[in-house]
Amino acid sequence: MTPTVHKASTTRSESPIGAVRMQVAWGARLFDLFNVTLLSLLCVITFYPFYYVLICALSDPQQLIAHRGLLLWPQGFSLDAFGRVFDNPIVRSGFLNTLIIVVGGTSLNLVLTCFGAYALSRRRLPCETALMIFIVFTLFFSAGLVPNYLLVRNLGLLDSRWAIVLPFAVSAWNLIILRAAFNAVPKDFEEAARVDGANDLAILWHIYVPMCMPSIAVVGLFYAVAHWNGYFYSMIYFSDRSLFPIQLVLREILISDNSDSMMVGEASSRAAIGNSIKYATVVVATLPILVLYPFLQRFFVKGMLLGGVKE
Amino acid sequence: MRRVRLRFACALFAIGAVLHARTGVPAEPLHLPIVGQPLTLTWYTGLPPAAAVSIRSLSEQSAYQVLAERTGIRIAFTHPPIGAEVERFNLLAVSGTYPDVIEEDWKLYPGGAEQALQDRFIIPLNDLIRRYAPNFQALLDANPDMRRQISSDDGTIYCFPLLRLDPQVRTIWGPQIRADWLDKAGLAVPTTMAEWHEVLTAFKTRRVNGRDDLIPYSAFNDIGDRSVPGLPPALWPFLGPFGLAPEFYQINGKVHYSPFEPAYRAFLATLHQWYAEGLLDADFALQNNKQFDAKMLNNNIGAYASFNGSTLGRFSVMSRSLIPNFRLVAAPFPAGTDGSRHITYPPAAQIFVGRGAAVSGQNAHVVETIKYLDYGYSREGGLALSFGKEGLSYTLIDGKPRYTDAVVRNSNRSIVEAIYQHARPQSGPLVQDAEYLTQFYVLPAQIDALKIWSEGSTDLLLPSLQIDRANARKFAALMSDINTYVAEMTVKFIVGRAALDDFDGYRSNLDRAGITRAIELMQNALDRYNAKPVVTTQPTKN
Amino acid sequence: MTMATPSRPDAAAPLALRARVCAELVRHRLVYLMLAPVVAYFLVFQYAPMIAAVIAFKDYNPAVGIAASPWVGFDWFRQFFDGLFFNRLIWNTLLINLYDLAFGFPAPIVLALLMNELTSQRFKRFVQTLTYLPHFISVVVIAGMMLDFLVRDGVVNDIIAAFGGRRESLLLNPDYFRRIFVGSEIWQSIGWGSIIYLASLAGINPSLYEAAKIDGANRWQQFLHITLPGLTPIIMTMLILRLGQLMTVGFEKILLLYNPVTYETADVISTYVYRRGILEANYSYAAAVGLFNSALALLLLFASNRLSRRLTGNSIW
Repeated sequence: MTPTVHKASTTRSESPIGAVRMQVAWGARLFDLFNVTLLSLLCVITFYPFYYVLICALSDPQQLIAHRGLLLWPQGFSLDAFGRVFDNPIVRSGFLNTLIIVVGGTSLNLVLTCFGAYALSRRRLPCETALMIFIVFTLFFSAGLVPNYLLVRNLGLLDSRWAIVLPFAVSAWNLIILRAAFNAVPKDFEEAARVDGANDLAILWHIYVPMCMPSIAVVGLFYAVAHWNGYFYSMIYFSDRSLFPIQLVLREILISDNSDSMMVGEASSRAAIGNSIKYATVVVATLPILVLYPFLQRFFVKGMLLGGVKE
Repeated sequence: MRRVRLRFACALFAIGAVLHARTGVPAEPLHLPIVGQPLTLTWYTGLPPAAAVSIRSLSEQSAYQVLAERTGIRIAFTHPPIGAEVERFNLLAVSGTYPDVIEEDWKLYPGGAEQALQDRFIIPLNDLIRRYAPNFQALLDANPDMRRQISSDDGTIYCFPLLRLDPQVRTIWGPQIRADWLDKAGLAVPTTMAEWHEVLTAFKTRRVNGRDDLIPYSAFNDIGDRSVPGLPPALWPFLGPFGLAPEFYQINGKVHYSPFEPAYRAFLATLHQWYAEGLLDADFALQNNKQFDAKMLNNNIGAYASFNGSTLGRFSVMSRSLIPNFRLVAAPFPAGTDGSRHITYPPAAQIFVGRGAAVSGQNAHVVETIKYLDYGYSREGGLALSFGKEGLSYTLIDGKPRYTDAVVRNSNRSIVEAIYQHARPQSGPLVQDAEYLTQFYVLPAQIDALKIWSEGSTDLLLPSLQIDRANARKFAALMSDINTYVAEMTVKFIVGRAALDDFDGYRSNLDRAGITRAIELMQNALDRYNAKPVVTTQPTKN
Repeated sequence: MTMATPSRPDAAAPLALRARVCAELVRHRLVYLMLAPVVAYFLVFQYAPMIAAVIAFKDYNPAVGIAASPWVGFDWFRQFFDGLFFNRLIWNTLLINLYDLAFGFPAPIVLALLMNELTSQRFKRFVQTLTYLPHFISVVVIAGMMLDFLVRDGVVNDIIAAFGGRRESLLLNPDYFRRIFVGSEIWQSIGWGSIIYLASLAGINPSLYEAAKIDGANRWQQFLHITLPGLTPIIMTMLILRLGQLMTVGFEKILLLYNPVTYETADVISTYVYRRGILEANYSYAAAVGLFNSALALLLLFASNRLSRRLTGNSIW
């Protein structure tokens, strides 16, 4: 939609329609300007917190504490805080654990969700509606912390990575999304494949998965992000510190930083670094996903287009 | 001849047995190693944050390695994630599988230690101590007050606690004030409410830091701390002059709850006035220690109340390069108009604050466990637990333990972090050693503080009390809402969001919420505590 | 399209039923095979624990186990309803949700519309990339950042002071909590939430716009008569789904941001229950209120679905 460009100062107009067009153009320009300004402001607001955390992490701790006013540049430069973060015995294992959980967990999630979405799409099964209700119900009712804890304990999964993978193997929400995507695939493809003698697994693998790849990518991303950011259940189930995922380690560091009492601090000037360690930890725990996601971004819009829209 | 000798031997034996049963002489002095074959005990406790920066488990500490070598018993620790101690301790009970030793604050167990005993979560220890824990038994015999504090109502001892027997280790918290500002204003350290008002006003009106953002008196809280205080701890010293102490306190054996007392209104009025005059930090109610730090180092704050190490010591050193002439000193707890000076820091009266190592009901090596725990109360065991490994983390100079440079002058770690690589002087099942404290406190002002803060009487303070089992849950339920309400209203009254004229309405709300019942329950607990038998044998019923 | 099955009288042998079931299983055996682990998951990890939710009606003592714990009927529910803070909790839960709905729900829609109007594709991609960022950050980090920014000497106050305002510790003022919370929710989800609307907008038939322009409609009229109706189905769907989350919204974030000073506006049902139920180990209480919560959520879902069907013709079922 390209507005016709007229200089606002032009006083002459050839015709009434020309005048209207000129006014529209002027109004459109104004609107566009306003739009760009607003969105730019949004970008700044979105970005500044990350920028702030980054420069705090890179600043010299003493100078940082003494700084007053709006912070725009790093105060001094120091990588001490990062050094201390990586000194922490469980930061490295934290990353490794999170990686394992994200890769392994998401794979399991996708396989099961695809299976479920396929089975429950296209009215294949007579019990489809009943099963959908069965599944959607769990979106609203959950047993609570203690019953889930007892289940995990009874299955012998305490202090095992399965404890934070199995109980979250399928998300009803993502299942619904993927099912809608599968339903949007034109029927002809499947029918043609059946004529050729393909069985359900083949159809799923050769038709639905390729055609709904964007939606699968989006759903996969939902799962991966949930795994990456998860800390609560590992907090409940894990005692073995070498199993802690990175967000739990981060939370420990942030909490320890806030903790008062005679445990913390004494007559030492190294105490200033405690503040910077907090920022460095945030950077360390968040950077990987920030770096990764632009590459996956291209899938998002297409995925949502095919997946969620046609209801 | 042999027959006579034999009979004589039997008689001796019999007499010995009778004597033993009668007088309770400890039958077994501690012999090391405790076990012939290596034994591993499982042990649940929180991991101190200071330790978490270097080690994954307390078993990596030098102290526990030394103990393992000497006793033959290794400890396999289970730690909850930092910040999740409360949830995980409760879930431990749910899990149905208990480690051999459980070390935690027993007030956290729903229903208290008595319920834990009833549930067979932990076992009673009196007999076991008498038979196998000579060091601990000796302490009990020498300190009847200790026995009363660490046992339940019927005299059952349920855990091996951190014992703060030395009065010096208890007076580690109190009011602190900028001595250099006092010098500039030409005033002395305040000792009464009136003097405090004068000093704080002088700070503000004379702009002793040369700026308008001066905060005469400040306070901070733990954001992560979910146990709701009725008032930020830094304001506790000002309860004393009104004859109050934080939350539950006593006057001659009668229990009161300060937020419910009429005198609380006068206290609130004073603080409200201070707040209105700008003498009290506007952020007092929620500020966390990071923000407080920033203000201190920015030369904003005149006075507050907190710990000797983490504030007095730390700020004195941190400010050396930032603020010229910076000097912090301890101020005594303020006295009331009648001259009485009350120490209003509750742990100052408590030898035992609730934390201890208990033996679980599923422990299969009870005797060995008791002996191991008892060793911690012996001189050698205590040294190991408080200082670590001789030669590595401490040396003995004139018979006194001194941390090595690796601890006090560590380039990568703060002192407390360095200590925690080797020992756990602040929380283990041991007698807290004043020696560690005096090295932890390196400044003269800190040593003085210990004396200054012990001036006054702890007569208002309650010992560590437990509500009786039948009512413990009810009490917890009552106090949960009451604490929240008190916390909110206190802040509102002080900042002026609620008018003090509504104080009576606030009191009747507290009444409606059940405070009278709660006070009653606490009174029962105190009565039972005072009536506790000081006997040395296990009560027969169990 | 359902399979045509001849109707049989119920009196006809169950054998026939079993035969039908078997035939069905065989015919779609791969499908059922694929379905099996999924159903197993829901049975084992979602429905089985629900049995233990019976502790809502008992006084659960872990030491004796669920079965041996005594029954208390509706005592916990009663305690909840009679509690000192019940009214406030309901009110806070409702209000925070209302704020979030009033501002947080339209925000991604507005963003999508605005981005759709951009002429420069590069700038549009740039905005998209940037605004999606916050969605990926964990709530622990976000809360940590907010706690840091909103203190008296934090960034936000620096900005306020630069504009001549008064510095104030913003998380200490109950009046601001809802705004802060909803603001942070918007900040975190506006970009990500706009994806689905952007996709919908792209799916609107362009020839409709052409026709409208020929008829002389200006941008605003095009928006009103084409864009908006085109978006309505997806908006209604998202709205209904959002309503299902009414009772649990923002639990983790509120837990990390609130404090006793702001309880009066920040304490919602789920955070109160977390304190009472989990921290104080009164699991039965937590279970009871959890049931109440879920029932309410379900009720709201049904109600909103029906309302939507009546008003706009769109619904989830």
